[in-house]
Amino acid sequence: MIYTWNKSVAAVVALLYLVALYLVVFHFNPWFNATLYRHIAMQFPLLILLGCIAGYFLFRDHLESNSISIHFSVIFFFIGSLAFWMLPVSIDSAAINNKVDMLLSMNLWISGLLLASQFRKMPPELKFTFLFFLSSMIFITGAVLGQLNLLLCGAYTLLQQKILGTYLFKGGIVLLVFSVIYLGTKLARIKPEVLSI
Amino acid sequence: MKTKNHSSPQRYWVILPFVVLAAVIVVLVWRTQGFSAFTSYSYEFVKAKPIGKTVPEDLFILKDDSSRVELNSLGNHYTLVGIVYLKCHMVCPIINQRLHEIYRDLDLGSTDDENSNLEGIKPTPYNLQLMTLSFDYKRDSLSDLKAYKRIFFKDDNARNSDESATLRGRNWSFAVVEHSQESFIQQKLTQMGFWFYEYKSGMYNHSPYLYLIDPEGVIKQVYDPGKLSNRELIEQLKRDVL
Repeated sequence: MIYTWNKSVAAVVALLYLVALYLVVFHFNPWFNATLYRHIAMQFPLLILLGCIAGYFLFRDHLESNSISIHFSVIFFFIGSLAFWMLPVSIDSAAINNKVDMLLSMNLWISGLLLASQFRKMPPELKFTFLFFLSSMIFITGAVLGQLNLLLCGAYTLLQQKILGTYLFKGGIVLLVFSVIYLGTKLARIKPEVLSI
Repeated sequence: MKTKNHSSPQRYWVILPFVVLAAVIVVLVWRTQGFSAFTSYSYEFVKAKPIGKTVPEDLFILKDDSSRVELNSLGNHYTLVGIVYLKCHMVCPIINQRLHEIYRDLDLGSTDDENSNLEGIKPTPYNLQLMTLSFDYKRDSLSDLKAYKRIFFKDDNARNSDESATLRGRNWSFAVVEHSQESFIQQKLTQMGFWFYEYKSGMYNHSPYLYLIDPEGVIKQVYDPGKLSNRELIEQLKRDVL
């Protein structure tokens, strides 16, 4: 898509994008890593969002596919990546080891990129199932972390874990509401004869 | 990844989700040691499999009686070791409190007569001694250990309170690892399945385990005081020591 833009506009947007990526991955990384809720509730979504932006505006024309197999593969990769980096042992490793932290950033960025490059062509049922699953995963994790009095991530504190729990719980609910609205608008656009089939 | 409908290579894409799903499962199994370790504490523990292994060599400790011994040769008795650091105000005081309760409940400090001289301490009913071991060699000195021990064995009437505490708590020693390199200590303790991490503030987070070391220096059992009640812990301990 970006290829169709005015060259100077595209260059400015690309530059701004690179600056944003640098800020999230490098410059503010110590600040994000200082607390568990900044690391997961802020840095994770930002990395995925930046990946999504690249995937949608830069790579979609090359990667977009109608194949349901590829859609499922991307969803499995996305959910698997998120599950991996949500493991307390992975969170600790990323907090302690810079190389692991860079791997995390790269993995989440690529996950967002792949997801955004395929999302538009996914069937609405798959989109909704994915969003519903993702939001459920987030708010259940939030509910557990918010209530648990056991520190899971040794590189952080219990208070930070509880704060993260409340953020994830609220974030999960917001995402669920968004998913329902999204599905509603999609269904409203589908012609009645298609629905009856 | 542009695809054409009904072309023969298209068929091969069908297996892609299964391959990705299998890869995700393999990675998660590897990362969690077969879905058995989700936290850093349990991961290091499951990875090290310390039960039945000899305590690593060359890990010397300084005890509150000023003796210097190797952790794998603590004497002809079982030793229950709690690994802590004294400046901790979170888990370590709880671990020490649990050790104190074990000490009291197993009557490890019994004497013929509480008011008699301390030389009259009976042999322990169990062939067991306790040890609070600090891994924070940078900040925990011998005098700190002695002062900490006095909290549990305070005797206001004694002329020399240090000596009194050492004698009264002769079955509960306080010690600190002796080495000048943190990486060395980390490596040795990791071999025992013990994980610790230093915050920027200088505080540590670490595994809360209690290690039962037998007279041969083999780790006979590891208890998690966070998962066991005091009664359960003592019952298990009695079974393992007797």
